[in-house]
Amino acid sequence: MDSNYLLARAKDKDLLEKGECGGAVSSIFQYLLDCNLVEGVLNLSHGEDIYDGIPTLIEDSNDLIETCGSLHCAPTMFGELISKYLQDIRLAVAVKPCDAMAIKELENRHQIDSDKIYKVGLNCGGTVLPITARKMIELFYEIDPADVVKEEIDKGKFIIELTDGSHKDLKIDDLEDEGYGRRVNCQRCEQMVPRNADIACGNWGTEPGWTFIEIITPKGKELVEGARQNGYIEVKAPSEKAVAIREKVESVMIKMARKFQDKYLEENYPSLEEWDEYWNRCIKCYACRDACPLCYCRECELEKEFYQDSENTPPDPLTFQGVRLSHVCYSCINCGQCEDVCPMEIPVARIFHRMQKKYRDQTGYIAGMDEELPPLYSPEKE
Amino acid sequence: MSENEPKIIGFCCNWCCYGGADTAGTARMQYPPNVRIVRVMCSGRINPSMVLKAFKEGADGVFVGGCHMGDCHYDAGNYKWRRRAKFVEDLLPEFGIDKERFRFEWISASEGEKFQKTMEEFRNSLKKHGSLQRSFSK
Amino acid sequence: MKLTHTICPSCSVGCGINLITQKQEAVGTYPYKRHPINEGKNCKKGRECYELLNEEKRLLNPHIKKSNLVKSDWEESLNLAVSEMKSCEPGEIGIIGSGNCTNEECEILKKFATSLGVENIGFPAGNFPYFDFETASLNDVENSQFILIIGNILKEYPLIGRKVIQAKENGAEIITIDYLEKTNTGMISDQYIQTKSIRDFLDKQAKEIQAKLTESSVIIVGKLDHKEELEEFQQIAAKSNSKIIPVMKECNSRGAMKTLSPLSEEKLKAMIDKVKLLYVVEDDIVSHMGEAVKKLDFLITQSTTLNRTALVSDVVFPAACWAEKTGSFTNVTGNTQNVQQIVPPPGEAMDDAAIIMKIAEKMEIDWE
Repeated sequence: MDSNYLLARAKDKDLLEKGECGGAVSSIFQYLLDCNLVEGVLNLSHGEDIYDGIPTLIEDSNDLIETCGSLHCAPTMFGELISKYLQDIRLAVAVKPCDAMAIKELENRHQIDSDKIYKVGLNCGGTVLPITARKMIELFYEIDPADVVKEEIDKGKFIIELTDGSHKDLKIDDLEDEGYGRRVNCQRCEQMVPRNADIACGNWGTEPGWTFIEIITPKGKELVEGARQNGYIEVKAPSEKAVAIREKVESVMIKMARKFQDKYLEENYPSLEEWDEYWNRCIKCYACRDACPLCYCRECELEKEFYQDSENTPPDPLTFQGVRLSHVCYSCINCGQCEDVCPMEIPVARIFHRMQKKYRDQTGYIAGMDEELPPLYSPEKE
Repeated sequence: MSENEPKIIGFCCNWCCYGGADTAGTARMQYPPNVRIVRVMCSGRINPSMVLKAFKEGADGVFVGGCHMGDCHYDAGNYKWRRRAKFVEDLLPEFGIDKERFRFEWISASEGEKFQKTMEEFRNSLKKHGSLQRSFSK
Repeated sequence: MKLTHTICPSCSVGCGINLITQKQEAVGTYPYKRHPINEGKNCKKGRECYELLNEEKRLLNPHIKKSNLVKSDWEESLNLAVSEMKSCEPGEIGIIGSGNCTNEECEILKKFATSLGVENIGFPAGNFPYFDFETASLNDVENSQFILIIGNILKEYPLIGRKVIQAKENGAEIITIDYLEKTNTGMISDQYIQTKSIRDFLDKQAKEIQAKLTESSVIIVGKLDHKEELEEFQQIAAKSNSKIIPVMKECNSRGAMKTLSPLSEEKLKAMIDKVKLLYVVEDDIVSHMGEAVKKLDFLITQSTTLNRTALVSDVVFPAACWAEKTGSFTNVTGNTQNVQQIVPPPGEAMDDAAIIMKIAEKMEIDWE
């Protein structure tokens, strides 16, 4: 194994069959649990249907089968779950790029111990909100969402598989033009391959039944090597063509994301009047703060007496979102959780992402990717 | 002070700018009375929230004065402030506040004249802009 | 760490939420984005609902009043409660349930009362009367073209507020009525009418607004001063074929109404004046009736916490809280959702249904 690229699949029959792309990721988790390298694996398991992904801690490798398969309609966030509830255990976690970015920022803030955690990255082309997905399938696919057994995002299409084994696909672009499809922050996201995890796994450029793995850190290299040596996965080298295809997919998606950034953060960015209308809706429920994986203060400045406004009117955006922005926007990873949980439908993530981009342009700091805190915190004389 | 005079909140570092204001005062240099000075121990103590709060409470302009680069009494406070100040300049327009309403300068304790001139300039520039009319109103 | 789907107990909207538990203890909540009502969005009260389970004042044991309230055991406390109940005529006993009880608990409570021949039974429902008409659905609110709102819905019931916002984004006109000079809901409305009382609005301005109502309109009634007013709003809605949705505070007010009669403050007071013994399940009656309960000869309470009612009771049974018991809640739009036991009740606490059954057993009630 001298290259950083390889193809892998499970040796275990069940995982090979049930897992996504040959079950390599599940097998790596199995290896980690069996060899007691970790005490738990944090991953998604299926809830009531394919639109319901529930963060689940697996402590027995026999239970890993519950977490097999990928879910694109489960926009979850692991960062806070780890920093709040799983700090004490040695953990492996399956991360989308935004999860990995949140974890990185929390590591930089000493809220997660990087020595205790294996980050198995999953390539991600974006997620769809569950209820949006159901409406979209009903409306555009003209299919009862309950009849869908599997969904997949591939080659710019959202593909569904039905109970009878048939497939139906539509172009994501068209769905997104209608206001459906991926979450808008996913549309703007240019981090498809989690290069801040230990390894990045996915199906781009791979052969059927195999997972394409990019090794990113020495820890990741050791991990894959260990899983292979202990007989959990088999590996082979990808063809040059496969590597090229993968690169191409990634670069096309990044280009698209930048287009969406221009669209949402510049061209169609809400005007000041529109923002005032949004701020007028705010009920100061703190959902945005509570969902933000970066906000970890035990005592939040926003709750200080000197920022309080009248109970029955919206808070002044300057000392509510303004203060929040001044605390965390440098590190905003555009995970979109704030927007997802806002009961008042305020597009909060947009202003945060826009400010992060301004900050990035000035300082070069890429949230969630750098090994250090934003330069704002630097003690240097510069 | 007449109604249409801009209200300025000035955060001044104890070791330099506050001294500069003092020097201007003892030398009887006239500077606009519009500025309400808040003495802080270091410009590195100022965070964006304080600037935001000042605007929320009705300031038409906010000024921050710190030591010249290299002169910080606490070694690097003004460097930290400078990074935050750049951010404040980016943030204010997002809430409809012109960034010219926010100004920061490096003024030493001996530079009474610089303090006087800065305040005059800032007041004149704010006067041109008129009082801060925020579109968000409750 | 484990996440489990459940229904938020904070109000009657019926939002979904994931409860995070660690070692059988509730430690937090997590968005439940698959839930059709709220899609992972919750208000502050909702996100903090797990704190109900860990309240400092949770009751862990039965208590009885000697000179003060003292710790007791199930046997002694049940015997005391039952002997007092046995010494009363059915007409001298009053039974109060709560909109926080599950449907199943309400039914058992009703059955218990019927077997004893107790007719004084109900639950405090604020100013909301009994109703069984079909309400507007949340989708109706989202798709309406005109919405008349009574009260500060955005703040009090944010996840209905969200539907109002969505309707507004689709171009709906919003008119809000409330007492304060300014409210959150008023500020997003096209017109805000400050009124002294709902009566005043109904008498003076309702006519004018009635003209705007069509079949694609919804009236959201978030508060009432008197129960008769709901009927008037309903008539206004009926005339124009528009829909109406009364929003009540407690998570199962709508369900409780099906088995127990809703009691206004006056009715509740009349009941307390009439009876000698009051048996209260889950309601913190002292917090809204105050001194009135002092007249009672004997007060039996089932409560999750040592609240004001428990403090003045003669017998207190420790009850399981939401997420410590299984049952169902019926939300504002009449949608019944199941909730499951996720954590065990603390100490010796038991769920309300089990406590009622224990009393019934000692009362030698034949259930069938």
